[in-house]
Amino acid sequence: MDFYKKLSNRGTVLVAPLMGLPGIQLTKTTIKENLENAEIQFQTIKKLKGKFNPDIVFPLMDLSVEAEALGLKIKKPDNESFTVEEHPIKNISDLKQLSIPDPKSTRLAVFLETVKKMSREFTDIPSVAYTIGPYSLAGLLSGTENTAMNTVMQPEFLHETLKFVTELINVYGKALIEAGAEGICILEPAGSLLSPQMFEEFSGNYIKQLKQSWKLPVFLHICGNTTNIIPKMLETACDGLSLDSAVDIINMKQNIPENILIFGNINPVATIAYGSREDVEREATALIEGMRHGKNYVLSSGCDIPADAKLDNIQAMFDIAEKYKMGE
Amino acid sequence: MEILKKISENLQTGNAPKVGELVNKALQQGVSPKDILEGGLIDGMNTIGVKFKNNEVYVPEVLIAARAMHAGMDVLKPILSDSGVEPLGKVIIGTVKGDLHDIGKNLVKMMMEGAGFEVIDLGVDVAADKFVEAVKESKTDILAMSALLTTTMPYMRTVIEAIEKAGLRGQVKIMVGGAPITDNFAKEINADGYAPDAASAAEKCKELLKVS
Ligand code: B1M
Repeated sequence: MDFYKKLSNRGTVLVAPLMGLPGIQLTKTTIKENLENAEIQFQTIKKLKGKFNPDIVFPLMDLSVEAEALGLKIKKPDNESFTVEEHPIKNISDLKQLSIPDPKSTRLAVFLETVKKMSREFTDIPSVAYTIGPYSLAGLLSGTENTAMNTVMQPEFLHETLKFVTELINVYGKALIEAGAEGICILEPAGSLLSPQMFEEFSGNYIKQLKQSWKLPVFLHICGNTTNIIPKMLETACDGLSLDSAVDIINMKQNIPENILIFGNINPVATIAYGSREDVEREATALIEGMRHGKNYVLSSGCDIPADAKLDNIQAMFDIAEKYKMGE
Repeated sequence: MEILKKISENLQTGNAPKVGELVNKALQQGVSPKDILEGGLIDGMNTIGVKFKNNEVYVPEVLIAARAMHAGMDVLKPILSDSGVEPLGKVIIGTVKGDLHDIGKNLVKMMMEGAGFEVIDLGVDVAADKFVEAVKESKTDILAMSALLTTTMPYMRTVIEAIEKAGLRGQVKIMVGGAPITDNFAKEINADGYAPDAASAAEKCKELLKVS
């Protein structure tokens, strides 16, 4: 069934936090086990779904998996997110050494398999997969700082890199769709380092190509303060924006058309992970109240929720939403 | 002075070779190194700092301006020390252990240099004993730490405790910053100062040392 049909059965106050990592508390597994084994990751997500009953499910977030598929060296601690250790692609000839792998022959297969299990088992809600965004992946290949400077100093090289990584992301996305993903959320954390014009040229235009190629609901998540680039994020033609806690979404909603979903944006760290239940209740209430006039709103965290977040704080988001659902 | 204005402008647009060239030219014309630093390089960096704060320029432009400033400083530094222009103070900076984010730290470093401080950069993933050693090694006025992860910010406390244990706390001011850090957190861990952005970090240094 398609994304919107499933959502339309879920009432009006939708809740879908970017929560994957805290699920390891429920399965007593390590982050590493989840990022390397589809069955373990699937059980973690299943436990989360059973406990909270969210309106959309996501896999665990892993911003290193595409870079690993391209052969970069990855650090894999037991209980922290994986990170890219070296950023060796400094020029065109380095870039030419890389090739697009078959996703199934790399660790991308863990996510393909996880998404397959999710979409088979969870028939009531949509399963949305993640991919990294082109500009952030280019940053992992060449170093974030170099890549930022290359927007001005070596734009041709950066565009060559972006064309190449967009092709990898496209191939991976198609494999995710084949595995059963009903939507894809593109994670472009480094997008907020750019001016609106730079964002359009070095990220947005490539994301637009992915959206056109995939032909299913595509959402765009960018960490940090994206207030100034929201118009350019909308130009990607993505079907929804996931906005971090630095954005005043209640104020911004008037600039976002009603057919575009808005995900956001309780502070995942200060409030959800380490705040009190009352903090979460207060922020969730303010958001639901403030966003009410839009049917396009999904109560969520501003960004990925840390692994050690208090589960009762996550529960608080759902409790507040439930209160509003009852009132309707 | 026309040439100082040119240095400042080329720094702001990030033209590193041009900045190096203009600094040399200014020296040949007999402009004092101190005037070149203040009227050219620092002026340019300050303008960029303000524009960054106001969202008129973004991270890429600031990084490129920083590169241009370094090109100018490379020419100027040996002459400055020969001509006896004293830095305002010495800062040791690093991103704390477990944390690899350094873009913000690099900008802070550059604004501090731009403001006239000597800055020693310990890089990223810096352990407490490395900070302690660096402070011991040479007379340091300010120890500056950056953290971008909530999981690494508590490590700042570990560093401060190590500095205390080594008996160095009395001789060095400590300042902290980075996206998740707040003024309250800085007070909680017994730091002397916090700054929300790179331009205010340089100001904070001056404030802590009561110089300007
Ligand atoms: C001493 O006094 C002072 C005073 C002021 C000081 C100061 C010190 N230090 C800084 N300041 C202040 O002045 C600066 C200029 O005004 C400011 O500095 P900032 O550093 O805040 O600002 C910079 C100018 C620009 N901002 C940045 O450079 C950070 C940008 C984002 C996109 C980011 C980047 C680029 C990276 N990342 Co990372 N990354 C994110 C960021 C998300 C976002 N859009 O904000 C953040 C910070 N990362 C995060 C995470 C989780 C991670 N990252 C990781 C890795 C990376 C890259 C390597 C890919 C890259 C870093 C490259 C590099 N060389 O620095 C991993 C950890 C690696 C590690 N062990 O450190 C990883 C775990 C993996 C992941 N999920 O992405 C999140 C942190 C969540 C949290 N609060 O704990 C994050 C908010 C993104 C997210 N939500 O996923 C002020 O804070």
